[in-house]
Amino acid sequence: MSVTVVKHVLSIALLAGGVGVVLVCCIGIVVANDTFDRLHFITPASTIGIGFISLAIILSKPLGSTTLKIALLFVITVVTSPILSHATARAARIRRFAEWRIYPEELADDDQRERRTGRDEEARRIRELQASLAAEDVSPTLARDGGRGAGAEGGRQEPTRRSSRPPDKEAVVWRILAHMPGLRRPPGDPAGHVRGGDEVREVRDRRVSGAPTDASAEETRGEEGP
Amino acid sequence: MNMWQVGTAALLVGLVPCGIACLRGSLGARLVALELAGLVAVLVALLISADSSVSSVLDITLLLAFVAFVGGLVFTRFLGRWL
Repeated sequence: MSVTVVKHVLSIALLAGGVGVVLVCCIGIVVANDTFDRLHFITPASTIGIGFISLAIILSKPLGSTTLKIALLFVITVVTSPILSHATARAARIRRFAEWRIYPEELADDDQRERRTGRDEEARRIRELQASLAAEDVSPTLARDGGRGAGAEGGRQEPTRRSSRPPDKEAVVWRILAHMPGLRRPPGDPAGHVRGGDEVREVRDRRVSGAPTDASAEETRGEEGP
Repeated sequence: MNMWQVGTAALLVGLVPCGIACLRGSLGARLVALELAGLVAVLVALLISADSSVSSVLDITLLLAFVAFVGGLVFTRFLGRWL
């Protein structure tokens, strides 16, 4: 068999395979009714389908500008199709749940669920702190010196309204970060960020002193058996 | 009929299920069917350009792929924000 015949047979096989994949995807999109189920049928058509068909054309045509254009078309489709699928899935999820976030009960793994719960808890605490800072509305100077004015020697002074000076953003940020328990997480404690600051310090002190922590005590109990 | 024309005819048949899927299901599901129909249309144009001796037909295919992507994004944005 000559090379031409092999190329011809190969291009026919690739064309048949590509068209078959696309047809299967077209049938699958009718069978599936949910948005996210249907999204799965776009990926084979936009990768395998167009890849096989492009390869079939490239094999049957002489190398030139046509080949380059077909390769460019393949690259464009392969790059843009996942973007479009992601945007569609995002829009569908926002339509269904009104926001773009994962709920803890959607996670199958307990560890993932614990991490997600911790992140949500941290975000909630930061939001509350930001709200309390906005409600206080104290000037940055008063926030730094603890509410004592320059003229009042240790006496309590009512916080003044925010001046025209721009706020000291660094002080505000550090004040927010000081309430994040994750910053005080000891190394090697994956669940430390979901605990409060006192509990984290307690776990750290136990580790330094060599006393068993809750996790290690549970492991020990598990090894001992019933 | 050569193989490119056979492939084009088969892909045109594949547009029918996409059209049916566009008429069924939720708005998001219909949008997905529309996106697949755009992809099939790009492949049909690609096979037509392979069959044609005019090389500039392939430029239309490239443009169609780009327009299908941008149109899908616009529809998705519209779906997520306004519908």
